[in-house]
Amino acid sequence: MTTQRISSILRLGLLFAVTTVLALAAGYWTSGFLLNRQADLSDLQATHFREARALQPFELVDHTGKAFTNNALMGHWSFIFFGYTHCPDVCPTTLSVLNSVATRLRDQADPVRYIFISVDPERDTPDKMGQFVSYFNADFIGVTGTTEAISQLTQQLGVIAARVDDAVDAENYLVDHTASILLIDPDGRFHALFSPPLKAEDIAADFIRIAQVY
Amino acid sequence: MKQTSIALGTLLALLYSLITVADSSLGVTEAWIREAPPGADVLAAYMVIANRDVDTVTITTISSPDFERVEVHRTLVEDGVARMVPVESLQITAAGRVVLEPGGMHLMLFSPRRQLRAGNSVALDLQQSDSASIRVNVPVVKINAADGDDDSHHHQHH
Repeated sequence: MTTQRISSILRLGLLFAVTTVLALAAGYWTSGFLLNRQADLSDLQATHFREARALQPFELVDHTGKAFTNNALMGHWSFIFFGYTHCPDVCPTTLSVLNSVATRLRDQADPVRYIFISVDPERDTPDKMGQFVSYFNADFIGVTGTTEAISQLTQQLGVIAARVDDAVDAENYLVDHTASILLIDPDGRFHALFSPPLKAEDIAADFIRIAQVY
Repeated sequence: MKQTSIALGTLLALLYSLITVADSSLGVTEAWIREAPPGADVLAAYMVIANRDVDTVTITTISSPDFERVEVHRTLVEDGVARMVPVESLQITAAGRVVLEPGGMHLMLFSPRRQLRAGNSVALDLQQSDSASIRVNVPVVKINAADGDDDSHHHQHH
């Protein structure tokens, strides 16, 4: 009687142990599958960060004159490009690429915004930024601000902007700047980076895959 | 048939407008100026310059009655950073050609003297070191990728 009882307890224990092992194995397999889905992003053209980076508070101004802070990056994906309106080659080319990205992502469920931030706040007033971005797309957002506020943001994003003074023509100086497009996630974190050569088709395809696993 | 003759007429008009100086050994094709957003102070021009001569031709200065100043620049992207490097003179080797295109070499057109819109035409004077010069009339073109990819090449002719 007692031995039978003990053996049934043992059997129950064994059953419990086997179930636990099976559950663990299933969990391991599932997590492996999910991790693989993450790892799948390694073949993107974009640089997809292992951990998205939260942004320090910043305060800029959009082309309508409204404050543009961390809040303006919450609740939707944002493509950000840094440039300036006196830039006749790289910036119009990139905004035109972004316009093509916007056309390709028009039917996406995830809301997306396109933001052009000046690295030349001395010449780029909100009005000037508005004229520039709306030439490419009426929904694009132009952003400028004080030199300090902009460099505070560029520094934390690893964006480079360096003014090159022109000895002949002081007014028409150039600004060297990062030519990549940054992707900010709906939690306002720096999530991925698209580096030149920029192709709208690749950017849109990569974005869809990034947004799917988010 | 009618379309062909219109196309031929356009082609002839383009050929005529692009190459107006016959004594230069240079031929300019695929020339266009990117229409800029309103209020822009700098525009970019692109073109292919071919040298039909057996000697290298050097372009020392480029000017335009429509702009204060014209410079040749090359866009260089190094470590993800775009830099514009001034090009002092354009050398086109014998039977060679230089290509000015978006993201590469281009003409910087500073301070337009009039508002330029798509459809306008701008005269550019290319001054050679041997004192010959060539005037090209370059159309202003609106490029916005979603409007139709790469319509920058619709001025191409053979």
